[in-house]
Amino acid sequence: MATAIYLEHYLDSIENLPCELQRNFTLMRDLDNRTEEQKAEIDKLAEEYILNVKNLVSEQRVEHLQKIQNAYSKCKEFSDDKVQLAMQTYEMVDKHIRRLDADLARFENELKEKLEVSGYESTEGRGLKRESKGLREKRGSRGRGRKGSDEDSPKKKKMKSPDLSDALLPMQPSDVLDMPVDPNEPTYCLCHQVSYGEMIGCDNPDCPIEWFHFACVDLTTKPKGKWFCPRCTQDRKKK
Amino acid sequence: MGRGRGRGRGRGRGSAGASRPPSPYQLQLSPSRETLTYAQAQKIVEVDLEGRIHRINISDLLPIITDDEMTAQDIVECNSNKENSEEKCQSKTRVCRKVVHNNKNKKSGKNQQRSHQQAGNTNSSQHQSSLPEPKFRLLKSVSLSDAPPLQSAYYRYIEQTGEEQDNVAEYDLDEEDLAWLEMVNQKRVRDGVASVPPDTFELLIDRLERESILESRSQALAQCSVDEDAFCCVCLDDECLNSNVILFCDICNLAVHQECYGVPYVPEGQWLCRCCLQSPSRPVDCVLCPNRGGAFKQTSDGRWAHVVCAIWIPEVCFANTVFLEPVEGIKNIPPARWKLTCYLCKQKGRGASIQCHKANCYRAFHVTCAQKAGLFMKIDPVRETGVNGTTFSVKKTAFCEHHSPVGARRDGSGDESVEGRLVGGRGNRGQRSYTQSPPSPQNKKGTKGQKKKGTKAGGTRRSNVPLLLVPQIPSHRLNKICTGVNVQRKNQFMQRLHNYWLLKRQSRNGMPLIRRLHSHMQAHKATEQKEPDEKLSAAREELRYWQKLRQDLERARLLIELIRKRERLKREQMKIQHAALELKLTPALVLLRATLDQLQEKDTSKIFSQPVNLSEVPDYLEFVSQPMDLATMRTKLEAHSYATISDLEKDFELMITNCLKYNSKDTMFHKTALQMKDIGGAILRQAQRQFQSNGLDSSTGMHLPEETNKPGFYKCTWDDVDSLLEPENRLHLTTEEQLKVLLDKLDMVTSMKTSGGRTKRIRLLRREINSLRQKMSQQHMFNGNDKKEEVDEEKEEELPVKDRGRRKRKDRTEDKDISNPDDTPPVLELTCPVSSPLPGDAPLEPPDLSIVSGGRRSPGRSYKRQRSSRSGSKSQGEDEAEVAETRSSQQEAVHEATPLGTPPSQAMVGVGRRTSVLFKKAKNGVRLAKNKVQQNGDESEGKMNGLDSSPACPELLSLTNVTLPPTPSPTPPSPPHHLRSRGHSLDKEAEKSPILNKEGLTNGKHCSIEDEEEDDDDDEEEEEEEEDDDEEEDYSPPPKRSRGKPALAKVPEIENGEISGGQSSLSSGNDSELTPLDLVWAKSRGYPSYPAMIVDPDMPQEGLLHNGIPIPVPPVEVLKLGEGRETEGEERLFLVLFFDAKRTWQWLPRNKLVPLGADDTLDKLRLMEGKKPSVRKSVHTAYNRAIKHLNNVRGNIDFTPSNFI
Repeated sequence: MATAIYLEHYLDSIENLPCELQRNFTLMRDLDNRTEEQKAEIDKLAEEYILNVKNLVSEQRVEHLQKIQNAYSKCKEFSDDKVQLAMQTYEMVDKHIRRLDADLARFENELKEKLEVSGYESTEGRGLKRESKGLREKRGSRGRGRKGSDEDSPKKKKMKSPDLSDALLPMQPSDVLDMPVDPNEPTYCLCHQVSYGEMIGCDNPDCPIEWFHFACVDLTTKPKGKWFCPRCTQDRKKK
Repeated sequence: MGRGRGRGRGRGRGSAGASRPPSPYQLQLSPSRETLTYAQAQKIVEVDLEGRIHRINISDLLPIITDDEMTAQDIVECNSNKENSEEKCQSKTRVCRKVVHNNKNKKSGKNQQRSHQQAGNTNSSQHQSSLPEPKFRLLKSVSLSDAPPLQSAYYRYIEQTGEEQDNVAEYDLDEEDLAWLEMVNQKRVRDGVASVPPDTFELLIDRLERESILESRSQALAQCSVDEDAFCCVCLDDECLNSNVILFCDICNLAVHQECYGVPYVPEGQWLCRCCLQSPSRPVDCVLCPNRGGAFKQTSDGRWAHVVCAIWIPEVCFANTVFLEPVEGIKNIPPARWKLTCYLCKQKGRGASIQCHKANCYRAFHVTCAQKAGLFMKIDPVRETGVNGTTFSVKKTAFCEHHSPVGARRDGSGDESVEGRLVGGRGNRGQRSYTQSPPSPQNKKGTKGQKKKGTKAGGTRRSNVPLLLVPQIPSHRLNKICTGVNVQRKNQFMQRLHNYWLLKRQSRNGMPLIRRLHSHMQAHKATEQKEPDEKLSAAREELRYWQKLRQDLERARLLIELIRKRERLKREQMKIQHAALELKLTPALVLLRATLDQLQEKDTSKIFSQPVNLSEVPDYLEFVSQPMDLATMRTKLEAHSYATISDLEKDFELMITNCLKYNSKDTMFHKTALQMKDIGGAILRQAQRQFQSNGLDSSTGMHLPEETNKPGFYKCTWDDVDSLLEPENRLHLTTEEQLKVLLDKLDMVTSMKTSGGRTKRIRLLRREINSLRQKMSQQHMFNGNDKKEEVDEEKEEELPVKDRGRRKRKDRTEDKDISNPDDTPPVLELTCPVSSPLPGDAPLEPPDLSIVSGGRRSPGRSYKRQRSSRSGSKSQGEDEAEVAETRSSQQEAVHEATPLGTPPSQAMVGVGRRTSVLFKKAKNGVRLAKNKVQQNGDESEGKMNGLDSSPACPELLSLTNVTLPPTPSPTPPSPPHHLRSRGHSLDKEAEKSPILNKEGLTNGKHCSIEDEEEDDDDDEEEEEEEEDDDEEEDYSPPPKRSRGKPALAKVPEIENGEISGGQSSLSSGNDSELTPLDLVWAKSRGYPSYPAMIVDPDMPQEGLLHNGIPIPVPPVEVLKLGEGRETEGEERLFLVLFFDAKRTWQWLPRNKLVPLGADDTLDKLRLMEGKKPSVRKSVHTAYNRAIKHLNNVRGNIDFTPSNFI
């Protein structure tokens, strides 16, 4: 089956993603190294200062501390850059993902249409019937759960039927969601769980948590305007 | 390739003709010149050989060929070489050889070229040696051996896919078909139509078969709607175990248990019941009962019988007890059984019946009828044979309707409770399972879910059965089938063929004609399914690919998200590290900075935040030699100029002192400075403690190497506090130290947990602190006075002593002041800015009392002023010196009140910092001169005093209360009584008064006539100091007093008002004398302060103009009222005209009036006084009117009252 042309385009577009990722990561590492250097220097300076502080007049102290201060501000700059880079990278990947999702949805729709058109008319009809039957069977097997482990074998004869719908099943988009759970997946929200369902982002750019499950913050719909998480709201009130 | 090479070798070099010279490089039929880029063209040499252009890359290595070799070449080649020699310009060491691509060899094309290349390579390596001679020998016996057999893995059976099979006609003609075809063809020939070839016939039949299969499958699917509560039609049980599952026939959907139908192993693929398998088209009848439907097995004689019947009828058994077939022993059934009449179906002679197992009950019934009717039929669950019901004797019990066990009969729930194979009570199931067949053999197969009990319809309708098995093919499908076939008279032929096919199918009991399709229906289904599957799987594969990509991306996103988080954490860490290092290197600085921040925070109005703008107040430096402000402090701090908190404190105090010095006390600045001082003091003390407890090294600004012992600051006990509260316990300390200690304690106590003792002690401590403060400020005043007056102090060393004496005395009296709630209502505590340990709690705006009572006074000083005026009034008749003393402490107040001072109305007008400063300056300017006057000006003081105190005459009595000894005088129930008690106390006071008065006298002398009488007082002073001490001991500690008399705090309101009124009248009297046409804030009872104008009641009745503005004339009745009131109370009343819409008149005492427009802060406060918004608004409008009036009077239009709002 010929791939839709937009998917080919997508491949082209994603081609240089690894390169860009690598570039960004390299940059970040570079910044990291420089930060480490600065840190080492700061340590040195601090050591020096502690040793000599008794002999230094206040101007010298100020000067010395200023050096440390400068080093720190550089470090901060680097850190900011790194965060910025990371965010950029994230945006980049995210953009790709969103595009792929859109394309995939389109592709799947087209596939389905094609299947419906190409199949025999009877197959079509049967497919539908079978699908409904499959559903009923599923329900049935659940209903008969009390019978013990009789779900598969007794109905064996019947199970053979849902062929076409079965064949279609693995192509459901839900497959994407069935990704294996990554133990390193970042956690969010007050509950420290991975992201699921609808999430809402705190409008405080420095929020330590950033994302919250709707349920955890007692939301059902997206609130209008700015939204701040409970913690940030507290902090803001204090200010 | 092989051919080319072989030829080259075989013929040898010698044989010129056909052999081509080996070419070391491939001749490229290179792209035309136009397609070359410039850079490419530069690297190419073009050679024209025999009309063809060859291009050689200059970087290609060209082999060198010697002359010898050349001789070996044929002529043509030589020629070509010669031609090539032209190219030697490229490199002289190389001989370029050109391959002649002669036409003959052109055919061999690529192969030859490759062989040439190889040969060339060998050439170049051999250089000058002669060419190798090919050696070969003939092998005599060479037989081509067979290729060794490959491993079986290499062989694969590729099954034909459904599609492929579809294209091939699987059907083979049999004789019958041939005969039919022949017949048909003959007829067609007769009709002049071309005969149909057998191939076409086969193809069509094949297609029909396929269609029918598809059709039947879809029908079967429609049929075998899932029966959720499917039950085995043998035992009527729906129990389903893994070892004994319910099977469904793929055609008739019969449901049976494996064990009940004798299917030990569930077959792969389809499973058909016996009757569908062996008699698919014809419904079978049971020999043992009249019912149709259900699970049949064949009997040994080829007939059919229900499995249940075989089970229940005692004589019948199964030959094979595992497969439960065939049914045997039908012949053994006694004729009597055949003759029994089933009481359910009432049919006689049809099948064999069983009888009720109840003794003496002879009711007979068919097994299936019993099942249908739901009779109680029970099979004992014990299975010795392993197969249910293989032994027939005792294990089965069946009862007729009447004898069914109670509760089990026709009772669904009942039978559920009965253990074992309970068949009874499942009538509905049995009903559904069977239909009565002969003589009405209806189609009752399958569809048991929907079909009710069949009606006894006559006539055999066979049509339904074949239809079920040989499905009708819809005409459009038929048309589709024959589209690909080229037959004349197609429709007719198709019709015939279809009929023939139908008949043929029916003749075979509906068995499909193509074996494969029938036997491998399942398989076929699979393959058929594969058909779209092919496409599907490709699509799925692709989709899977994309999904993988998506997952990878998701993973990448996750990774980056983590990275982002990490980086943010790192950034945080960096900040924290910075802070940590800062704390490590410069902890002192951090502490100082924090302290300064706190201070700055308290400076809400930003008075101290920036240096004084000298262009704004050019004379600032005349008064303040060392300007200081928070910004400067910060700069100093950052420059490490502060080593300790005390350094900071010094500057802070400098700042405050500057402010106090420069600004007159009734300015906002002064007040704020005082507040700031208190709050800042608390902050600084806190910081100081922290500094010590942290163990900071003041020289380095870092932590001390070793942990310092935490000072026992927090370990203080109540005892410590209490002991400290005793004034005598801290006698050894100077006032400052005392204050410090007290403040420390206060901080400590407030930081403790809340308890009754705590609050009490806090209160006590505050009192002590306040009194100390007052003392100190007084002392400062004296010192300041001394300095300012530039008195040459000859016995300066005595001053502190005297001061202290005075302080002591004052302290004591002040103590009383405070502790006597009669005089100082609780509000006092509010007005007194206690150093609050929680600086935020400190009221930044002065509380109401001070507002009400009038002028901008420093709350801290209000006591002094009160006291001084009181003492002044007290000593009015006795000693003016005392007044002088208090006056000197109140220099500013005095100045304001002095006739020499600028007229108050003018002085009060100014607003804003600058003007107030200027005003102050003017006063200051006067002061020096004035002080000189004052030095010998007893009379003037007396005059002033008289002037001051005259309105306060009624206060005399209450004022004596100030010095009330701790006698537990009862709470005055009524004013008269109160007055009496006061009078009494006055007497008491009088007893002590000599000393006091004396002291007051001396003090007064000392202050006012310091220059002349200094020496005389010294002795007395010392004496009195001792006495003072005694006195102090006489008085019980102040706290107890105050505690003992809480009731005294409840002073009757009216009196309180009088007192405050008196006070404020005094103070305002000090501030300014109100003259007619002044604007005031008038406070009448029940209303907030309201803008008003004082009107002279004696003004001419015809009215007058004030600067061109007409002033309303008071009505006569108002004047009368005022006269009446004035005569009633001794107080002087002012007639005021409110600036409300109605221009109301009112008579008010002096103490209810406060000048308006003198100070904007004050005005603002008044404006805010109203509690309700509506009231505030009306006050606002009135105020605007007043200001307008003021402007009109002054002709000053610029003023915009809106600034205030």
